[in-house]
Amino acid sequence: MRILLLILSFSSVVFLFSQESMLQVIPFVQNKKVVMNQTIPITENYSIEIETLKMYLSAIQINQDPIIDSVYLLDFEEYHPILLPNTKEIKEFSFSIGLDSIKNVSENYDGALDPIHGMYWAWHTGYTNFKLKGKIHFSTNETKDIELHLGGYLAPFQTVQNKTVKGNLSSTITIRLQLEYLIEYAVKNTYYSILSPGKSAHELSSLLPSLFQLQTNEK
Amino acid sequence: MKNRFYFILFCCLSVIGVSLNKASIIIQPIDYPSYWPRPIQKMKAINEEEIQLGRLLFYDPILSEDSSVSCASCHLQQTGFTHIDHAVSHGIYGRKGTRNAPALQNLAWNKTFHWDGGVTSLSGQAINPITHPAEMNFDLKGLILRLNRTRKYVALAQTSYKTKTFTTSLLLKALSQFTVSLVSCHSKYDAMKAGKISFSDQEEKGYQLFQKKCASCHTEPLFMKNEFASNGLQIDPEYNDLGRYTITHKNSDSLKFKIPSLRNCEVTFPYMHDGRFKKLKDVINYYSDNSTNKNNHIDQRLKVDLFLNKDEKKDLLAFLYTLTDRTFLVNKNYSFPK
Ligand code: HEC
Ligand code: HEC
Repeated sequence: MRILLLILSFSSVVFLFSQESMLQVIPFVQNKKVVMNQTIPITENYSIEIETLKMYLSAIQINQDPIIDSVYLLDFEEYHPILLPNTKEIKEFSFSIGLDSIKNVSENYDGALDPIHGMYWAWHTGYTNFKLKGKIHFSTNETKDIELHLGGYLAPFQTVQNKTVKGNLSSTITIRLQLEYLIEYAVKNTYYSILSPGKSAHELSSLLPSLFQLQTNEK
Repeated sequence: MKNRFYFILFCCLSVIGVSLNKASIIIQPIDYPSYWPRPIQKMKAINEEEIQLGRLLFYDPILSEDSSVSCASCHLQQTGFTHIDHAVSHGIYGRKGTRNAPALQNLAWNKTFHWDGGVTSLSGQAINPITHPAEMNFDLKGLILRLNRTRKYVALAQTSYKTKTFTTSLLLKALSQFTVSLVSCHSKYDAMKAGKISFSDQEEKGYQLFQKKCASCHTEPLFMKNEFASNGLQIDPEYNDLGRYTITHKNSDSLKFKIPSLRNCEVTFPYMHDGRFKKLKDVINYYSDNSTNKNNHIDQRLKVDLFLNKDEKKDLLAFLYTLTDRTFLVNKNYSFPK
C-alpha cells in the first residue's frame, strides 16, 4: 500500500515536471558542444579551452507576456535549464542577455543577484552580464589567456542586449550558444582582457544576440 | 502536560530575551539640522537593530581573510573615520592601496562614493574593501560561510531577522545602515548657524575668505559637492590615478576627483585622494601660492586669484577648525561595541 502511494506521488511529480516549459542553453564551438576545460579547435590556427562561462538572462517574455522577476544566472560549470511556466503554444520567446540598469542598482542581493556568485562589480557598482575566461592555444604553441567581463549599464556604453526567437516553438526551447563568433572577433581585434565597462565591452556585447541561435529539430 | 509547561516557559523566556535585547539598543534616529538639504540616499526606515549589527561587523576583523583587518582599521572614529598617518591606506599583510581613505560622515548626502564616484550604491560599496587584495583580501563566499559558522552572527540573523542563515544581503545592508548613521552636525560652525554662539573675529574673517574662494566647490552646509573637479594637482607618478576618467573614459573627466567634504578636516589628515599633503597648512599653501604648478584640467573656479597673505591663511585655518565636531569623534554610539 505504502509503496503504491510512493510510486503514485513520484509519478505525479514527474508528470508535473513534464508539464513545465523549459529553456535550454547549450554552448557550442563550431559543431562541438563545449565541455569546460577541454580544448576545442576554432580555426586551423587556434583552439580554445574555456574555464569559466557565466551569464545573466533576464526579462523573459513568452508570447510577449513578461515573466515577473525573471533573472537567471547561467553558470556552465554547474548548469541547470531554466524552468518556465507551462505554455502550450509558444510562438514568440524573448529575453535580455544581461541586466538592465534598474537591476544593476536595485540593491537586491538575493538569489541570482547575490554578489557571492562573483558577478558583482563593486568598484563601480553593477553586474557583469557575460563572463568568459579561458585560454587560446595557437598552433604555434603559444598560449594566451582570454578574459572577457562584459557589462556596464551607463550611457553611452550600455551592454544589455535583447534576443527574440519566433516560430512554432516546442515547449522546450533549446538555444545553441555559438561562442566562436565572439571568440574569433575578440582574437582578431586582440581583445584578450576586457575587465571593465567601456567601448570594447560595448562593442563585444553587441555581438551577443547573434550567438544565441534557436536549435531547430533538423540540426 | 509537562511538555506544554516547558513550551510556555520557553516562549515566555524567549519573549523576555528578545525584549531585553531590544532594551539594550540605543534609539538614535538620523537627525540633521533644519538648514541642511534632504539626504540623497534613501535611508528607508532606519533600523536600530540593523545599525547595531552593522556596527558589530564594522569593528570585527572576521571580515578579512586572516581576521586581522576590520573596517575600523582604515576608518578610525577619532579621525573622522579615516586612516591617519598613511598617505594611501594599508590593509592586510601590510599591503598598500593606491588611495587615501576618505572620512566616513554624512554619507547619506552623497550621490556617489569613492574618489572617482564609481560606486553608486552604499550597500554594494562594502564588497570593495572585503575583496580588495590590498584591503581585506577575502572572497564573499568564504566570508558568508565563516559568518554562518559564527554563533553570534547566526543567532542575530535568527532573532532579529528571522532568517535561518546569514546572507550577503544582511551583511551589506547592516554595514551600510551603520555607516549611513554616521552623521556629523555638531561643530562650532553648526552652533554658530543655529545662533547658539558667534565666531571670533578671526574665524569670521576666515569664513568670509572661505565663502569667496572655496565655497563654490566645498559648499555649505555639508562643505562638499556631488561633483567631480580637478583642483589642479599634478598627477601622482607612482599611481597614475586619472580619477573620474577611469569610470567614464571621457577625456574631460581626466584628473577629476570627487569634491570632498571639509567637515572635520582638522583631524582627517593626510589630504587629497593620494594623501599627498600632511597638514592643512600645506593645503592652504597649495591653493594660495602654487599658481604655476597646476595641471591643465584645473577647474575654472580656481583660475581666479587665490593668493592669501600670512594673516589671511591663519584666518582661513581658524575657520576650517570650526568644522571639527568633537561630539562626533567620541560619540559612544559609533565606537567599538562593548
Ligand atoms: C585597507 C583600508 C580599508 C579598509 C579595511 C576599509 N576601507 Fe573603506 N575605504 C578605503 C579607501 C582607500 C577608500 C577610498 C577608495 C577609493 O576612492 O577608491 C574607502 C572608501 C570607503 C567608503 C566610501 C566613502 C566615500 O565618501 O566615498 C565607504 C562607505 C567605506 N570605505 C566603508 C568601509 C567599510 C564598511 C569597510 C569594512 C567592510 C571598509 N570601508 C574597510 C580604505 C579601507
Ligand atoms: C574647483 C573646486 C574647488 C575649489 C574652489 C576648492 N577646492 Fe578644495 N578640493 C577640491 C577637490 C576636487 C578636492 C579633491 C582633490 C583630490 O583629492 O585630488 C579638494 C580637496 C581639498 C582638501 C582635502 C580634503 C581631504 O579630505 O583630503 C582640502 C582641505 C581643501 N580642498 C580645501 C580647500 C580650500 C581651503 C579651498 C579654498 C581656498 C578649496 N579647497 C577650494 C575642489 C575644490
